[in-house]
Amino acid sequence: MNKIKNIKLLNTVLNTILILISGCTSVDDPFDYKADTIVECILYVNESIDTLKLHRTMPVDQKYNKAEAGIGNASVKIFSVAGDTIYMLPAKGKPGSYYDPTRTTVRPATQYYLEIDYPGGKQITGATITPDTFTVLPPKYRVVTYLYDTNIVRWTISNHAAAYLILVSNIEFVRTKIERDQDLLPDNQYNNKEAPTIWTFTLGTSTPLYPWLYNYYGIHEITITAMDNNLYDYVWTMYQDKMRLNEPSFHLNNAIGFFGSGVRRDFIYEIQK
Amino acid sequence: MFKTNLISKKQYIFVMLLYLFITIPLHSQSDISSSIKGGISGYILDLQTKEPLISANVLIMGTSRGTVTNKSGYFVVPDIQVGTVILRASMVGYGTIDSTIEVRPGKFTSVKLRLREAATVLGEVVIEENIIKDKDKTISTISLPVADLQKLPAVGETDLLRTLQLLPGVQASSEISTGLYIRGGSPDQNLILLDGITVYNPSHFFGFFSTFNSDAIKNVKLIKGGFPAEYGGRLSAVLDITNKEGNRNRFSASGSTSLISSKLLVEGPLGNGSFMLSGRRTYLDLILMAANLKDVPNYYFYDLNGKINIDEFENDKFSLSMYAGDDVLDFTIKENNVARQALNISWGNKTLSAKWTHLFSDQIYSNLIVAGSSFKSLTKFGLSGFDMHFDNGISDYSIKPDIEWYPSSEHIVKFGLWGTYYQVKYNTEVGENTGFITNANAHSKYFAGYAQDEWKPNVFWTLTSGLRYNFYSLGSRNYIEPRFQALYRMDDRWSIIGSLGYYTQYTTLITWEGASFADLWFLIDETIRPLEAMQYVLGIHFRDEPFSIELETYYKPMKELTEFNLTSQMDSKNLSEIFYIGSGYSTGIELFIQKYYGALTGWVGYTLSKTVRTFDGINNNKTYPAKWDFTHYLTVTGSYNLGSDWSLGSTLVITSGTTYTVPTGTYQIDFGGGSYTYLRSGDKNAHRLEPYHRLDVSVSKIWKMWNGDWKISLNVYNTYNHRNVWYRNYDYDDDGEPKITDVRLLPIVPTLELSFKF
Repeated sequence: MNKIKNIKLLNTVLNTILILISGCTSVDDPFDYKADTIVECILYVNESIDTLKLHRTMPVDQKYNKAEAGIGNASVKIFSVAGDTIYMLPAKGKPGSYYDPTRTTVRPATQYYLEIDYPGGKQITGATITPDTFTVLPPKYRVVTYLYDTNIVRWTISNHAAAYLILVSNIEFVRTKIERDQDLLPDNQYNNKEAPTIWTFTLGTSTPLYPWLYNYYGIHEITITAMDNNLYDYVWTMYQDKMRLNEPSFHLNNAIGFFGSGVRRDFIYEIQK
Repeated sequence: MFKTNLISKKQYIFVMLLYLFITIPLHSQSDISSSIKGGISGYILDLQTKEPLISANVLIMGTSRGTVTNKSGYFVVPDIQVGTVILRASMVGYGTIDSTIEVRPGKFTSVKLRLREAATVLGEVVIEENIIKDKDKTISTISLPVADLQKLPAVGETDLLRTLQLLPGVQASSEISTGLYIRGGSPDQNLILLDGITVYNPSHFFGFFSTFNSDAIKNVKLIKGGFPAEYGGRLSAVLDITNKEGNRNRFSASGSTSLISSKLLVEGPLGNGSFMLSGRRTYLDLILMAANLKDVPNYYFYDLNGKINIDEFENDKFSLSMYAGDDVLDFTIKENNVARQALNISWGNKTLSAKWTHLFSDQIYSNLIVAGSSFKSLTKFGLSGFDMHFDNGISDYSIKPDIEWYPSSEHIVKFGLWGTYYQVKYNTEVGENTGFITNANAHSKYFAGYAQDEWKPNVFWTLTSGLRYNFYSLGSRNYIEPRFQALYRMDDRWSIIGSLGYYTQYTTLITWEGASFADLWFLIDETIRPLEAMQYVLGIHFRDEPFSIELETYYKPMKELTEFNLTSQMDSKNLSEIFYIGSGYSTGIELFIQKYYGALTGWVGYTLSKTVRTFDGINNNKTYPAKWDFTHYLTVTGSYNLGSDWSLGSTLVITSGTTYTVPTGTYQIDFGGGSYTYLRSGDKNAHRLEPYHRLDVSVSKIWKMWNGDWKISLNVYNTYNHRNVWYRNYDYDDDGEPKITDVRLLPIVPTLELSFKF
């Protein structure tokens, strides 16, 4: 009899705890949308400013659409300690894109500032020091046989550069039959496809052009970009752990994204079978 | 120098010092020299194996005088009236023995009492009715009989850390991890000792299994909080594991095989001493090799435990204990017998400790441990000429002399030293000429000295107070840690217990769930301060055989906590650049109801708790719940003897859902010819997944065959196949469409295990 009483008591206690747990721990609405502003702008030395992009974040459960997210009514100013002042204008047909109507050339080793004002938002500010120019030394091979030759690219140091970005783009997609499972392995989302660019980065002033940097045969363009600290911090931290939701390192006030600078040099060579 | 604002400092230290250094001499004068008193000292041993029994109870019948054996099975009862007394020895899982002893004036009578294991067949203990439990149980301490480990369901095989996760106050971050989150502390805040030496990475199989082979374990003691001054260097808890010494009477062997691994243990006499050697290995790799599958990861782990004991001398005993274990993963894709892509990961622990115990007199027992421990992890990745390697680890070399002094019936005094030389290394190289080369090696010395006194002024009170002094060479840090514990016995069944203490920690860990091989240990350097915590515990214990009920509440404020900064640079040299520094606290109430013997044994554990953190640079500097903050955590375990050598075991776990962060938005950044989608982080850990629940069941049958004991167990993990959520994943497909999915944990997993003992 006592045992039955105890079991009943235990059941009551367990049921109470279960109800308590169920009632206190619910899955909340996972979409707490809060708008933030994103800036994307890279100043390339000895080039004019190609574009500055200004967008808003969108709700998590929606497909991101840059046209919808663009902020087109902002006042965008970029100016330097050397006296340059550039007022960027909205690009027609490209919501959120701004261009430099004066085509002013960006100076090396110069500090630039960004100021953006738009209705309903706090002023966005940022700064970058452009890296100094540098020279790429001629690579050993202009024609490389896949898997047999490793080209090493070297360049001189760029002052103010935090690191160097190496982009490899296949600019001539050779339309021959791909020998799958034999040449470009693994056959993943990059290899054996007409994907345009693969990139890596280095802190040094040389890099082997590993076979995995190519996604196909043909003419390739190699671009070495000396990055300022803002760009390098973004590149170093750009991959997001979807469990921790860590975000890249940004250096803007009142916005996310980057206002960075770089110096780029490129050359062409061929990958052959 | 006492550096904390967690407690009021000077007054407290003053009181503690006064207590220690004035009251001990006053109260510690033994009456043993008196002509009307004598004493009894000796060892309590297992009858069949002659293994010393840890935490066995000793009682002078007809009096309230008694004690508990230490880690060598040694005990001392001083100040006994001369004449004939009956000494009763008992221990859970064993029978009792009464021995008539003549106590002579001014002398100690040495005895060796042997207890018979209670009707044990392969760990299925039928506990006898006359077992006496230790009524002087210390605060927040659980001594887990190893036989209990084998009675509960398991995934594949019995696992110590998974069983500990079923105790109140001990939580798992998820079912794929054996990490112990004890009273709001992270796994690196636990001091895990195997035969006296620290184990740094107690896991196999990416954290799914623990390194401790249950067949080789003799005793497990978990102190969830308020641990005494003899332990230090960690903020939260102590897990003290002692391996078997081996059978001193005869050679024997036992083992088991399951779908995951096989284990074998051999033990036997060695001179006047003994030896034990135990090994375990998984064989998934051998199955895959036999199947001749291509491009499949090759994985295995093994571990070895060994111990040698030399008992050639009456007052001196020596033992040598070792552990070695490795996990090896090899995933190589070959083309024409040439490796095109290769991932090789190997990681593991190695420990070696030598222990010398010496009896200076019946009242002064000492031991000296000289030991080394290391955890190493090596990861290599190669892709068509591009090579990366990550090589990291921690080593420590320690020396620990301890003395136990039994000056009178009222006092047990312990004091000792602890010296450790730490080395950590973190060497990486990414590609050729990339500049991503890190050689972050560091070393440090840690020295500690402690003194503690357990004072029983009368039958109602036991007061244990201690001081621990720590010196840490990096930054020349000095810390004094007071510890205090009080036990008040209201009657034979009820007692009230409380403790407070100050704790510091000089190492910290970066760990990733599901990737324990990548654990990175760091020594606190000059740029940050050691981690600090206070612990306050208050509880009430009730014991009326066969039940015990413990209700404890705790509060643990912590500061100088570290959290890895994922945006730190690879070449960061200072820990202040690698970690966010913050604070936090955990508080909770634990209820632990146990039934020790009878056809049905088991426990109910419930914890109501809160654990929060605050870091500059995280969550906009706002306080947030820890990832392992579970408001409710309920576990129910049971083992039922069905008769006819059949038994049933079950485990039920119900907890609040894991905390997680809901993103507030999404955005894209175009870079390097591609477009990258990100999630904007909302308030950290502000939401919870659905509650977690799981039921495991096991059925076992034992029988005798070929002069041995055999057992077969069917374990069913997650019996009703409830797919609990591990984490919520927010992602986007190639077209940018959102994909929000719940990543779920294990389904129902039935496993079979066969074990034997000769």
